[in-house]
Amino acid sequence: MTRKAAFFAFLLNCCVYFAHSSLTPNTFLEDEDRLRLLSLFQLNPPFAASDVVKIHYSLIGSLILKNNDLNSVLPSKDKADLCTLCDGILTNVEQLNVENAYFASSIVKLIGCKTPNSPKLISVLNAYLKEGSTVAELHRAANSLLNIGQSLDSPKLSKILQTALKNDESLLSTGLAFQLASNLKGAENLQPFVEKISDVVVQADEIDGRLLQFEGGLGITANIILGIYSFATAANKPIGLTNDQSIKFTNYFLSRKTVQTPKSAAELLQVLKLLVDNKYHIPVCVSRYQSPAISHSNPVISVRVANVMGKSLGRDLKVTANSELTGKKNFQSVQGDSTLFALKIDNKARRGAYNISIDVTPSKADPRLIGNTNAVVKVIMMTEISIENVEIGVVDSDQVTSSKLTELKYPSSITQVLEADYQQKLILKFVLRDKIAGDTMTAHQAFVLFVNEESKQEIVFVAEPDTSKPEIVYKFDLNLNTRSKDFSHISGRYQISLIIGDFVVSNPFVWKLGSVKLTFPASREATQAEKAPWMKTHYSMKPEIKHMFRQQEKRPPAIVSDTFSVLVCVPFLILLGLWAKLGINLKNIPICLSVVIFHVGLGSIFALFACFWLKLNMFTTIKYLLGLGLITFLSGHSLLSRLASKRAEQK
Amino acid sequence: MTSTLSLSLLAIVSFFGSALCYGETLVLVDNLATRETHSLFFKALQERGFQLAFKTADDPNLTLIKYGEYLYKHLILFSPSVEEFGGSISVQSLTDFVDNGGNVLVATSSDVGDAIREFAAECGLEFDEAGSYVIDHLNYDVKDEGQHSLVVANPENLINAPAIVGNKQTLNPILFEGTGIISDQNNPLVLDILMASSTAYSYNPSKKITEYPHAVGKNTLLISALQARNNARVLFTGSLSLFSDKFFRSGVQKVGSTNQFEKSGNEALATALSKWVFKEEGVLRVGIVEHHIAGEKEAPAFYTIMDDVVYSIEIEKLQNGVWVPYEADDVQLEFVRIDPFVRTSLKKEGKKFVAKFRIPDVYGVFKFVVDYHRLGLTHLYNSTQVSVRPLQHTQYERFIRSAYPYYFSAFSMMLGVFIFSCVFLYHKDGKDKPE
Repeated sequence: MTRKAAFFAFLLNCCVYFAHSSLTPNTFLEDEDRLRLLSLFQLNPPFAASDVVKIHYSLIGSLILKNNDLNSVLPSKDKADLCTLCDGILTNVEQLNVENAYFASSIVKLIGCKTPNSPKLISVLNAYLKEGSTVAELHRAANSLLNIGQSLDSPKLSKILQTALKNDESLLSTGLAFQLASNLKGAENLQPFVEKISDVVVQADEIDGRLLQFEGGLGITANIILGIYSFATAANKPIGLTNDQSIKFTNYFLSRKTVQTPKSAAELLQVLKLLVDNKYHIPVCVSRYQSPAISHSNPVISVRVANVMGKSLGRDLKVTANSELTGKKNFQSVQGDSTLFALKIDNKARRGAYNISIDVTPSKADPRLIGNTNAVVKVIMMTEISIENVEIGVVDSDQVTSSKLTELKYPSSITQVLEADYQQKLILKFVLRDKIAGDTMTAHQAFVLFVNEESKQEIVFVAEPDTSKPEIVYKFDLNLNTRSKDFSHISGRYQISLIIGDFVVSNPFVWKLGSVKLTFPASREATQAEKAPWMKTHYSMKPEIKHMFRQQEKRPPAIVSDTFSVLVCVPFLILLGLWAKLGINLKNIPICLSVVIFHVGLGSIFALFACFWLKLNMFTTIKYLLGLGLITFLSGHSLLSRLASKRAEQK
Repeated sequence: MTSTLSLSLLAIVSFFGSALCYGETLVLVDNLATRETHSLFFKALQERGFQLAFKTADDPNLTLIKYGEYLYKHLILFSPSVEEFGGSISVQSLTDFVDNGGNVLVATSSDVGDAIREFAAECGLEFDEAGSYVIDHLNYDVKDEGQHSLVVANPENLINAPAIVGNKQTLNPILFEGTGIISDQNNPLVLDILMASSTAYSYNPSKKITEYPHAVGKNTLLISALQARNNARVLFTGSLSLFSDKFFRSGVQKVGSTNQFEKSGNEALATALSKWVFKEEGVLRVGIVEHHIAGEKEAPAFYTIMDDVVYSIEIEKLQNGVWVPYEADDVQLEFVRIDPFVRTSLKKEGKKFVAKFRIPDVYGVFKFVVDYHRLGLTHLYNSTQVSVRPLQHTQYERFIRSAYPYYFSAFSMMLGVFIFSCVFLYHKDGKDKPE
């Protein structure tokens, strides 16, 4: 018994260990990736000589994606245009450099134009195959020669290549050297490069224990891997890469399927195509199909088993699942899609997240398949939840025993409005039950939401489960006095809702329980916004302000003023009347100029006052008054002295 | 011929116009793969005329400033996990950048590093702790990986500001995966751009809820922003994936709903947000400001109380890199002496906003103030100072009916004095003669 338990524990440990060390690629080139990459490779005529690099990579990429169907890649008219373009580049020997020659000749070969093999071109290309050329030049020139149907002088090239590689042992050159060496004939010419493979592989950097890449990114890594595989195939030697290393490189390439340039995309596709079929390694990709959630109504786990290009591995496969959820069971292949496998599980399965370890074994053993064991797929067994024994009510804070609580059934709500003040507390109790397994459970989210019916302000509390007993009961207890601050002390009607949700619950819900009128103590601290209202930013129009002009004072009626106007003139009239009665005369008037001047001056001063009242300002008035006053003064003085002397004479 | 001429003119105008807002932008990323996974967003920016310089956030040669001049106008921080920036960039230099008018777009994931966290705190925002996601069991997408953290955000929860989020009525649901933000409610400059729904919360999906979640319900901000007093704009979101090619291209279907959307609203929203944060959208400026007495043309040296005054202001808005007249009916003018005495709406007349009103019967030094502060627009403030004098004495009312007794008494007195002076001087009393 104990031995059995120990064995089980060991098995479990193994599962956990493998769950973390699963290297199997969980993605592959999907249809949407293909479409995106194809759009990168779109070629737009007219073609220019400067575009050959792009055209070359676009052709390589789209041919891989379209299964070498040239006609669907290029219309025949474009084909003819490209042939003319490349022919032009290759016949113009004087201006030809090795890069252009390589790309143009490669296009020629890909499209299948008539190969231009003028002796002049061949001799120019051959001239690059000498001591002192770089690895890249050798690679370009030799491949150009191969592209136009020439053969290579293997022993000579092998020697030159070795010297070139000695001068420049960078990763890129090594990759190109492998690719070039794979075209050489004769084992003795290949042998010198064989040991280089392991020298290069050790330089790869590992990321997260899952990816392997060479410094410099996708281009360099792709070149080296392409080189290693084609060289090992040509030399007929073991590859020098372990299975794990190969899978890690595959993971790296698949992680870069979002590439954006035609060059990188073409290099990526070349590598992926290589990983679909070669003599050494064929990585198996296992990915979950669609959502990880499995419901009881459709308890099926679906996985896709494919090669890196997302296509069927092309052989009979036995796909086995091994996990706590499934036990050890075989997947059934799905009709109509050779990459799709499904496994129906026991619909009594318990809720939760499961890691399912998947083994893929071909019916005919094939050592080339790698990553086919212990691929881990995460699934979640969903369940339905029901809410029971719901009770809600208001009790006094100091009361210990639970008094009358209202029972509620989902999804009805309480009809009357609950009322609670700051000396009371609001209590809500409920039980969550797994409808399938029948046991009580906890949920990740069990929130009680209060929404102020006026301001729509939301306040959320977390309901906590009591897990001490086997029957898990949620009890939510809101002491209004201590929780007053959470409500910003705002009394009023609040809508109560219960939110239940979990990762394994397929029917999360928001249940409106009803309304409650909460009353908080009136005294409260002012909020920051109230303390400093000027701090708040107003983004709306402000109220209009119209200035209140001072109202004119009420004036007496016209008849009053008119009467008084007449009355104020009366004394003057009385004066005239009395004078007439007395018989006034002007007999004493002397005949002289000053009489006229004085009286005109005095009259002018009065006239000036009238003008001042009508329009003049004080300064102009004073100016005029000075002149008039002086004249009047002088003339008045002379008049009075004359009158005085006259009076003295008479006496 | 003329059409080509006008076209080229237009091109020149738009060239100068574009030179106003676009510019050098520094993009800091955790690793350069972000450049590929978010290529659509970056490509759209480049097509709109931004020059993007990509650097890793820990690049030792990073610098924002050289010889006292800022090298960049805008900054994109797509480097959630950075604990400390490389080179001379620090939280202090970032806040200085914002203080000097630089705009910053920050996107993080659930793995927020200290550097971003501190910068957010400077802007009045707080990120949830590392490892937490916004979880919404009622609003998650069908492509969710079992954490219910691929949240489908309802465009209804976007802020009501077309300048920031574009037309939210036509926007498809938005995919969001990342951490939640809460904002300091006492910071008046913070804008809550996208709120989560009431059922969402921010927590670590692999842990049981033992303490109150950092952000719950509508307090959980998915996107938040700050427009500083100098109009510099800073935008934060907890989801770097919001801007990713994957989310741009992805369809949206909420679990439990049959309503399927072909394409998420992410691309449209990201475009609108980037236009706003990099000042292509919602930028206003003041043109010519004029004021004069009604019926006149020139501004007077001073106004007298109760003058009828006509005030006009030109306001222009940046649209596709060109300044065009701004259209609105909510611009207000204040006539202020310490407090506003008059606040009136401005009417659009041609290119100008015009207001006509009577100056109050209070004299002193006044200001015409247009203080236009609207959501998503730059803060427009213009003030023109004028002096207002009291009436001169000749400007008061004459011939007041009720004052007629005073006039008559004064004039009758003057007339009386005049006549009396003659009588007094020249009267010859006959009875005085002895004979």
